[in-house]
Amino acid sequence: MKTNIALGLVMLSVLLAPVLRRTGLDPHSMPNGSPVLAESQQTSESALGALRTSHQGQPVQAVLLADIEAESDPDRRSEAIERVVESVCPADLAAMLDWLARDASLGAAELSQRLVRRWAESDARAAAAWASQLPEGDARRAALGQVAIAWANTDLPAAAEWVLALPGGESKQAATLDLGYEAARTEPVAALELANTLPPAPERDDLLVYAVSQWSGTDAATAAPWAVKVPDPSLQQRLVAAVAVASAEQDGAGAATLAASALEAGDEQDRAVVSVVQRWAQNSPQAAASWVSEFPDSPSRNAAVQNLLAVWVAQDAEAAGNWLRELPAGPLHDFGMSAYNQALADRGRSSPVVAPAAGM
Amino acid sequence: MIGLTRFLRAAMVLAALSASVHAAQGVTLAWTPSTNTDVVGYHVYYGGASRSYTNMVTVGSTTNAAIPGLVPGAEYFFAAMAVDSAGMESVFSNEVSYQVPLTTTPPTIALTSPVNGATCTAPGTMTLAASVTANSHTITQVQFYNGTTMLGASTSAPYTMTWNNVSAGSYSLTAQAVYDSGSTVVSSAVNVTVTAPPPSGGGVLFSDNFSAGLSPWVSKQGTWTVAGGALKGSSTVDDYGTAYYNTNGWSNYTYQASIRFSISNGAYGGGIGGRLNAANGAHYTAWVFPEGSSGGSCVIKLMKFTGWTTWTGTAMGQASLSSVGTNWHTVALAFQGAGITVSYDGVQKISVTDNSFGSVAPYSTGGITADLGTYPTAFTLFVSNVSVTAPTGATQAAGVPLVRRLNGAGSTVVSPPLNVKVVDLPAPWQTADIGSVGVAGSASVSKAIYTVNGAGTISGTADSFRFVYQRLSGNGELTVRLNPAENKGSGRFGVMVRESLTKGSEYAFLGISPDGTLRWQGRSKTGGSTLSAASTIGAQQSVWVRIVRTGNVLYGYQSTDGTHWTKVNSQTITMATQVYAGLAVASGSAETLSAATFANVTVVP
Repeated sequence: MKTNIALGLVMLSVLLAPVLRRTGLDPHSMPNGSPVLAESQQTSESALGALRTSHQGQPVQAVLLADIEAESDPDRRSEAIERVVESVCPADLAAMLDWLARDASLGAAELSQRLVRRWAESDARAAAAWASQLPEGDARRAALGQVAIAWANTDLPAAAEWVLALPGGESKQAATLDLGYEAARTEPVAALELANTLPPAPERDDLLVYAVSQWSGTDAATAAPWAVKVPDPSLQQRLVAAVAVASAEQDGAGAATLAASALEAGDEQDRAVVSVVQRWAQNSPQAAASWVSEFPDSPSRNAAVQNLLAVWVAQDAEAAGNWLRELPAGPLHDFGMSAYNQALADRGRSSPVVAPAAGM
Repeated sequence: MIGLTRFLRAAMVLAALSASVHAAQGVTLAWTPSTNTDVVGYHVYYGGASRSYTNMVTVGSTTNAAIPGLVPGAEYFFAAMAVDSAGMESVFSNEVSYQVPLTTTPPTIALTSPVNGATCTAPGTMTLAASVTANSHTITQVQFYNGTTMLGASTSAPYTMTWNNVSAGSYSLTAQAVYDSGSTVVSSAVNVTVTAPPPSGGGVLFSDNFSAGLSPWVSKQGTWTVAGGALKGSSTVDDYGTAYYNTNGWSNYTYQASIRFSISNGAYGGGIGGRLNAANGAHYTAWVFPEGSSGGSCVIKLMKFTGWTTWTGTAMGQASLSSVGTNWHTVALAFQGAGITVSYDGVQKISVTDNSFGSVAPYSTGGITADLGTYPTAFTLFVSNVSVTAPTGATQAAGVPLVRRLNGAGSTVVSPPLNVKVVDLPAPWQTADIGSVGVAGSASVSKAIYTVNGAGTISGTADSFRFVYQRLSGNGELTVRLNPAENKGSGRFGVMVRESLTKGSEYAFLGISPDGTLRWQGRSKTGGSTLSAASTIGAQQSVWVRIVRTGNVLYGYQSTDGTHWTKVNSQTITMATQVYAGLAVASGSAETLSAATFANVTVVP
């Protein structure tokens, strides 16, 4: 433990040196002969705890925060925040967060988020208790979200229980969304359960679509009938489209059937159909091509042909050319030729002539 | 003797889609272990009355037990016994009781009408409606609020009320459900705008919703652009900015527009002007000074400019405003002979007579302006929904331009000639602003070139930018050709694989950064920090970039010819299976747009 503290102090010394120099607090040139880091080492407290006492009236937390605020480049600012986050000892997290909660600056808010996240990754309940006592507002929303995301990855049921027990309001809804998205990665059905606790809103619907998409990647057979039965017609179309697209790689024919039969004509169906073709073409380009051949002449058919040939040409340009050759003369063949040549060009290939089938 | 210490938590189930998350009610008990070394396990007894136990659960040597299947609303009493190797039980521990909650889920409420962003014309009439999910609670009433002011209440479903005679302005509406013994739950806020009615009169001389570029407006002072259906003006701090439409002949007219400021405090002021002499900048203006302005906090003034950047120094008239903030407000400046009136959100605030009319030409006829003064903080003034209406029977001088109306029903549409056909994005592409941007982005495609306009930043723990995307299932790749010279500002643009469309999503990005380098960025944890790395690309007109997802590893490649590729970076980012791949554009600022084009776009999803 002492070794860790000492190591932390050494690292913090390296971190703080340029900051302190800029603010006239160089630890190696303090006029009173009491280098700040030497003091810290003598106390045997955690790094931040020892440094919490002010020097020339300025708390070290304020110096660290000023260092972040001084960084206008977003990447360097992000790196500065990470350096501070890593420098804070776990025992000091609560005190640091309490101190930051009194500061309305953007840097304080950003740093708080990262510290809460770090705390939640090691002690989710403690971080949750701290976040829960914040007054309603942006800081509370952000803190609850960070706890929800971290906790979801260690104990999803506990995280869900905590989020659902939060008092109602925007913060709770935002935390439920954050938890839902994180849950959807591995537990999409749990994510759907969480989404179902939210009032109807575009954000809830987006989560439902996202979760059902993940669910369909592994269990489209269950997800599809569930999606079809959703009563809200607009949401139902989005959900069905998500199922079709996500399942197309495993079952192109099934996805095509779903997209054709359960989606109404329109943008949602157009996007789903082209997406299904993209995925189906990777496994069964000939079957996908046959399906595309049945589409009516439309921009969506052209998009489908373009995407089909982009995939097919990369796999087997000759087979793609044969399919084109057997198409009757007409818009499909003409557009297919153009798309075929473009696909060849994109792949750095020369363009063989593919004439339409004789007599057609 | 053992002591029962505490409840831990109620159990929950998140497994079955059809089940409520609280369908299974239970409790977990824990106790201190017996000090008797012969103890091999414990029995937990419980029932519905104190010291009268009807159920027993055999527990191993652990010192806690989950008791499922309790009846919601019922009270249970628990005690434990230690059991030794001979099967003998100890005396009961202390007893604890537990009241199973009826439900832990509070009611939910959503304001279903009006929808967020709705607008109507004053005097407005709005139907407010709320949807409530009681979750086994008793809803006593639903109250509707404008900010903190209650507008009315409804005691039974469907929860609705009508809000009449709503004056022009911006409103934040919520619904609050009161349940059980006075507990409350509040809906998300819905923001609506009520605009002042268009001026009545003899006819519309001009209108512009800024859907067709800056023309015919001329940027005279400062920077003026058109984006998101608004004219946007900014200027150097401590200077004026003006855009104008020079009409010469207009004399008696009402010029009305919606305006808003980008910041809520620290903006000096801005507004609209009329009877402009474009030769020297002389004109009248109606300026709004928002909260904290050194020109007066929450004030509207009628001022007389003698040039583009000079005015008489004394307002011709002024009036206090209750609030300005960053909401849209309607300002109207009306000229009728020597009479000038100024209205704010449909209410007349200033009325003066200026005898300059008729004697000094610049103040008798002329065009219209949008202008601002920037001090001490840089800000952006947005102007939209411009209309210029002539009073009934008014006569205008010769040479007045033809009516120019944009996109109004039954009106003439004037748009710049297009050399190529710009179409919506082809399937399966979609586009959206990710995160919070101050100005909406856009995307179009023409001749296989994708043009994307986006505001915001891609960095830190949350992003804001314009995304043109399609779904990516498992492994896949996206290749495009970029023009580095297009990055003239502080933004960045390139290709991105993103787990979700939320602002804190995990992602990998490869694109052009402000310093002209090729930048790799990644966020490997939702809501976490962004890590980045740069590599040089040299002076070249175009660069090909490719982002590839293989399992949990994202790779970035660059090429000068689209054939020979060099790996730029790679990063392990564990994303869900179904993600998004697309084109990302961020200007570096929430309030400004920057444009980027993407050619040779190919996707293997």
